[in-house]
Amino acid sequence: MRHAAAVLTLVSLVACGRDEAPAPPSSTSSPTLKVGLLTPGSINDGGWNAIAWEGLQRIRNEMGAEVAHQEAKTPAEFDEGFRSFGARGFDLAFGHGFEFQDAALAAGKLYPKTVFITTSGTSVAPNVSPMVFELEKATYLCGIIAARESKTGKAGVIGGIRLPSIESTFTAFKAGAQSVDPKFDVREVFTGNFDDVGAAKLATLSLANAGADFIFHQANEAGRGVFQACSERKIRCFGSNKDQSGLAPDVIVASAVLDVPRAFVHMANLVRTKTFEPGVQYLGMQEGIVALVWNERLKPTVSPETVAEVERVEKAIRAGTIAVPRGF
Amino acid sequence: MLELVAASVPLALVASVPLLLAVQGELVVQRSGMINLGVEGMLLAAAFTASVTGTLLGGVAGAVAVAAIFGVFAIVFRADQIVTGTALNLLALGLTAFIYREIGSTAASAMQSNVIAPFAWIVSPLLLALLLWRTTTGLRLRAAGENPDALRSAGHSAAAHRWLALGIESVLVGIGGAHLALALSNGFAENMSAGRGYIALAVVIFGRWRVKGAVIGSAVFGIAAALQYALQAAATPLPYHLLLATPYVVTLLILCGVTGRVVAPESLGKS
Repeated sequence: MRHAAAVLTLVSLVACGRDEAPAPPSSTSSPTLKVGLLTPGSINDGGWNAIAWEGLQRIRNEMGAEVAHQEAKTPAEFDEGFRSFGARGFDLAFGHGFEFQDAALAAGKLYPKTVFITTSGTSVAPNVSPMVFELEKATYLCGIIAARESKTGKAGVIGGIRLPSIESTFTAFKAGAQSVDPKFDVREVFTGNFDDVGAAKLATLSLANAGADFIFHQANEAGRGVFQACSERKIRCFGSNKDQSGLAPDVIVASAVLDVPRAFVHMANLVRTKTFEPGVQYLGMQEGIVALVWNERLKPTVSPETVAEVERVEKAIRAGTIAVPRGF
Repeated sequence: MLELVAASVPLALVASVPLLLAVQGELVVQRSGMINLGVEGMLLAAAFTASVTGTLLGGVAGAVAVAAIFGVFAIVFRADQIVTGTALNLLALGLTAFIYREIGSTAASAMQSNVIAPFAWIVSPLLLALLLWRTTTGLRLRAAGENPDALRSAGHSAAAHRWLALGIESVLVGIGGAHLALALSNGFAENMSAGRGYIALAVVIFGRWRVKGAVIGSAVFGIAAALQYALQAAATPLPYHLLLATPYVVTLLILCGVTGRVVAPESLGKS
């Protein structure tokens, strides 16, 4: 295990070395932006850490920034990582997770010229802020679609574990549905993990038995079981986090999509243009980080009134005239 | 309540097929005197190879590969079975995840499960019961688990019967893994066996190393699992953690309530 970790660190060091090669000239005349990233795990995980790495690559390619990445797994490594970025005069350092907050606050005091951003969290200091993604704005729209298109007046939501971020998207889904019909019934089921595809399928079938004819899930990998059950019962569902239409093109009506790499670029832009202001950075539709993406194949099966209504509400959310409730 | 139970039973019968087949496979192997903890890894590997090839046979191949490694260590080298099984589970988890990430998505076409469920619940238990208790081969296989020395002195190989048991387990678990990946899901997901192999080990003990017990144990666990989802979907005002624990609690309670001495095969786990 230790050897594996050492090899991985070596690989990421080599990768960083390559990436720190002379960056293409920046469009602005200011000195090259320096951006660091700490991830709590391997950037080859195809998920949480991979999207952060992708964000860092986009900052390098689109902004000509000098970038560095380190894997940091323990609080001691969080501190060390942030301090090394600060000591090397980085403009911006990301800690990719809720757990990086304490280290960000500590390093923020020592290196006031560096901006420290954690992915999710609540801790704020003059140069420390969390970024919080507003997937709720898209799940609210999913709720509207479900309530307008449902024949049974019931929808189901399936979660892996009842995390605040997951619960919050369900709250918004319910609020969206009940903005159409206050009596619309949304049933919640949790499976207790994000791996068990069979359990997710069983949970979906139970919801179908209970009369739900629209399903929204936050079960990550286990979502495949949700789609499988929906295909069997011919009930419609939504994709989450990514555009998942390809996984079940006959039943996924739309997906609530989160563009995490773009959030990283957005924050780097704020720092480069010196428009960064401390505070929880809510990133949603206006910033182009959250979107509702239709499955073009099924869009024609949805009534034109519903499509128009979703467009209208989406505009209102962007304009700030409709406030989407959050669970926390 | 009765309605909920009635609605849950058909769901449970299909959803617990991978568990049921793993239980039956493990039962045969334990009857031959080995504890194969690697049944979890076999199920996962089978789910992976089934989703890559899109066939039942592919699933069986994955299970065979893991079982073969277990056999080499447990039967040939007489290594500790618990350690070997645990190592194989970790290997299967890591290797399937690694290859899956390298080759990307394995969106195999879904399989109709209307043949596998009756096979798992009726055909396979009948065949196993016949084999274990009505044939000479079955008697010798059980003898390998009770007293391998007696079997050897009668001129038969304990090792050969243990390999046979592993072979049977591979076929059953391979079908179970394929069902998991192709009928319960539309392709592979990392760690999708999700502990079914470990539950299978418990159900084998719960069923007192008997085929009837294995089927009843799997049914109780499966129906309890389906029922708690039905209760969640019915907006029952109970914490979901509590409902998720129901299948385990029910199984434990029944285990405590069943009278009679638990008699494990005499040479179980001894190399």
